[in-house]
Amino acid sequence: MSSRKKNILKVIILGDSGVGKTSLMHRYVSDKFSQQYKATIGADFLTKEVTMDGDKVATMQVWDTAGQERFQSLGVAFYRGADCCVLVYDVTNAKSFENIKSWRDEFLVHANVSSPDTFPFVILGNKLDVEESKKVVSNRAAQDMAKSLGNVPLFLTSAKGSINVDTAFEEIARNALQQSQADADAFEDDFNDAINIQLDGEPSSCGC
Amino acid sequence: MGVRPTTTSTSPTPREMYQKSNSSSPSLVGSIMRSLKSSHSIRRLSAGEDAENGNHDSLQKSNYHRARSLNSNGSAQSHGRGVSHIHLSPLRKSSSGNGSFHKDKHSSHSQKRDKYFADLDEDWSAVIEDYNMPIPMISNGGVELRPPVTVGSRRSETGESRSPSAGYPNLPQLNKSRSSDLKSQYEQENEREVQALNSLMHRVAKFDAILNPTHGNQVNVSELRRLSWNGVPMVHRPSVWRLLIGYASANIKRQSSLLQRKRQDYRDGVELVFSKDHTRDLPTWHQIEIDIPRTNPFIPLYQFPLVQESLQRILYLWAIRHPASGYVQGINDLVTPFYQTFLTEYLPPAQKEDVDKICPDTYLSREQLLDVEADSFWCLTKLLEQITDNYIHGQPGILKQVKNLGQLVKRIDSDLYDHFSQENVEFIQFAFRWMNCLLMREFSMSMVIRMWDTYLSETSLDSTSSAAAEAPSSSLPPDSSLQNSPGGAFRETVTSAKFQGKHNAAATSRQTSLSEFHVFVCAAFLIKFSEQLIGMDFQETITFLQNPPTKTWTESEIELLLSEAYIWQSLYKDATSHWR
Repeated sequence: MSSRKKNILKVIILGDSGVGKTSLMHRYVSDKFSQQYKATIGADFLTKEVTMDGDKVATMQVWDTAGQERFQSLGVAFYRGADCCVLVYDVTNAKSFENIKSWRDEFLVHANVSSPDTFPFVILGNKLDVEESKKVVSNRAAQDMAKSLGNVPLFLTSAKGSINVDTAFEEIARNALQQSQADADAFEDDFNDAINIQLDGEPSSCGC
Repeated sequence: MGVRPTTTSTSPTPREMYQKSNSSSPSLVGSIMRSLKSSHSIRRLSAGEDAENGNHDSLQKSNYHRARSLNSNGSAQSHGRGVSHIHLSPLRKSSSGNGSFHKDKHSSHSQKRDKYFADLDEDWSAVIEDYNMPIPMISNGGVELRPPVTVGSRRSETGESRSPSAGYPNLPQLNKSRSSDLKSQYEQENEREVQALNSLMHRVAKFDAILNPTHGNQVNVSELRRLSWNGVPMVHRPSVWRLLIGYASANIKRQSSLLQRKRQDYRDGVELVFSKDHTRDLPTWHQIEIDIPRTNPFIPLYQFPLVQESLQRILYLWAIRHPASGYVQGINDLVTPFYQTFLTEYLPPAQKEDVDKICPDTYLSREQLLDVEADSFWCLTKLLEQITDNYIHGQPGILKQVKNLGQLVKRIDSDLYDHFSQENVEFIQFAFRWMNCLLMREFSMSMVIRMWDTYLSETSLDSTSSAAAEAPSSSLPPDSSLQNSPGGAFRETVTSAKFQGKHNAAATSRQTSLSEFHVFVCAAFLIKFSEQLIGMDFQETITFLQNPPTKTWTESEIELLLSEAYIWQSLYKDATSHWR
């Protein structure tokens, strides 16, 4: 696989419109924050070189998607080949939190991942910087949700305040790398299987 | 332009030239230029130079030449294929309309100049000395001033700091300049400015004439389209846009009463959806609410709460009235060129160019603001009627356009297409936004507005062209009163089939539309960067295309792009026959 040579990790960020997906991406990739992003249409794309465990170097391709439901039909074009999916909600927006599960399901339906049960997700609760009174999603509820979705790692972040963003993306990178290696192994297994099937099949076709 | 080309044979010339040049647009331009037996003593610039340094002089000249070439070659071919003249005419105008003048200029420069200036001498000197004088300004093709500016401030603020080629390069008659090489730069600049002004006034006068017909009550909308394709003077833009898109009536006697009625309709609509009886659609409201602050965040105008509330009303009302589509992100972008343009109507000429900085409540009454909103609302409605499929569930219009773009690029620039395939670059990954926002995210607002002069000229059906009918909904002709159109005004329920049935075969053998033309513009846009893109891998390609270096484009570049799109549309008609 050519991706092995370069170790490209494809990460896709999903979540409701306005939860801060674009801001998180920019904070992570270029350590910047702006109040002036336009709404994402389709998907935006940034890359960052990452080093893990001291020596493993990879390029992370971060796809920041549009949050509006109408754009979901596009998903397949962007989800394909993802190594990790980041689900983002806004701690001040209950609806965005409720939608986390449907974003996960949406992803699994369209991404065509090899093993849905083990595919890595990471949940980010963003806008941690806002005043307490505006927060409507409790940490407890978030933890329960993360647990119910299969012990998905959960981070409370603030792209604006640069809280926890790097930590979260380190976890994302680790998960993505793991997934990418698992996929590569699976690919080799498939390859061997294919040869076996062909060998097995030959006698039967000759027997006609 | 009522006269259609009479040649019916298919001229192979543009295609051959194209193939020789193999997809590099500057070479296309170059080869067309070379093929011309121009009587003008125009300074020759190599095609390579055009491409490398983006020399505006040469680009504009190429544009001009290409238009001529198209007139002599392309139009014949196009006509043979049943192409409408709506496309041809704007370009034809630039060649035939001004051609004799240019020729004169070049044949005996100084003598003609004096003669030419004599006509308008007093006028232009008056203009440049009185910055506040209400002389219309222009930001359009024929004249090529960058971005819409007033005479006064252009001179005082930007004129000096800009290089001549960037400032006023676009008058073909200026490009000869061998003789003026000897003149001082100051003189040259002066001369350019003078000529730009003259040309501007000439153009303004043309629009004046067409908008105020001396006989009859009808504005000749097909003539207006032809003229507007090359850009509309800022002072005329509000009225022209209203007509082009079919919002205002072409019958000048009915214009104001109809406008009044529509504006009242809007007020009633707003009153209704903001009354207690209306149950607010919260998801839609929320989506619009979070998108408004993200609309043109770098333009001061859109930061004023007054303006944001205005846009919110327009978008929400539109969404409620169009439940099949509802509000889709990107529509917030599409309303702003209308809004900004209609605001200019209420600004004195010297301030029109500052419309994006001044808070409307400093010059508008509440009622006037609602009129601006109403006009924006109805024009947005008309525009979206043409591209409904882009925003309904599944966005089939966009998916189709992206697919068509891919096929087109495969034919026009197979090297680039193959390269993309090799790198696993998918068109949807970068072109989705191009379709969803009509390339608005790629250009500055003033360039988008210039582009829309052409786009809105493309919106409608007229006697020899019909709007593209990817779906019946996208084939809606605006309420126009074109000379030959059946019945003048169309109902929204007219299907393309029905519409075609009313036309003679020659007139309907081809359909064209805003969305089709837009695909060609996107193709021209992409192929412009072909050479660079072929050297890029997947990541570089996507990164580049998401932030193309086009935010600083000037009008000459936009107009070249539009011309290229037009030429390709003519050359590749057969490629689009199945798009319908």
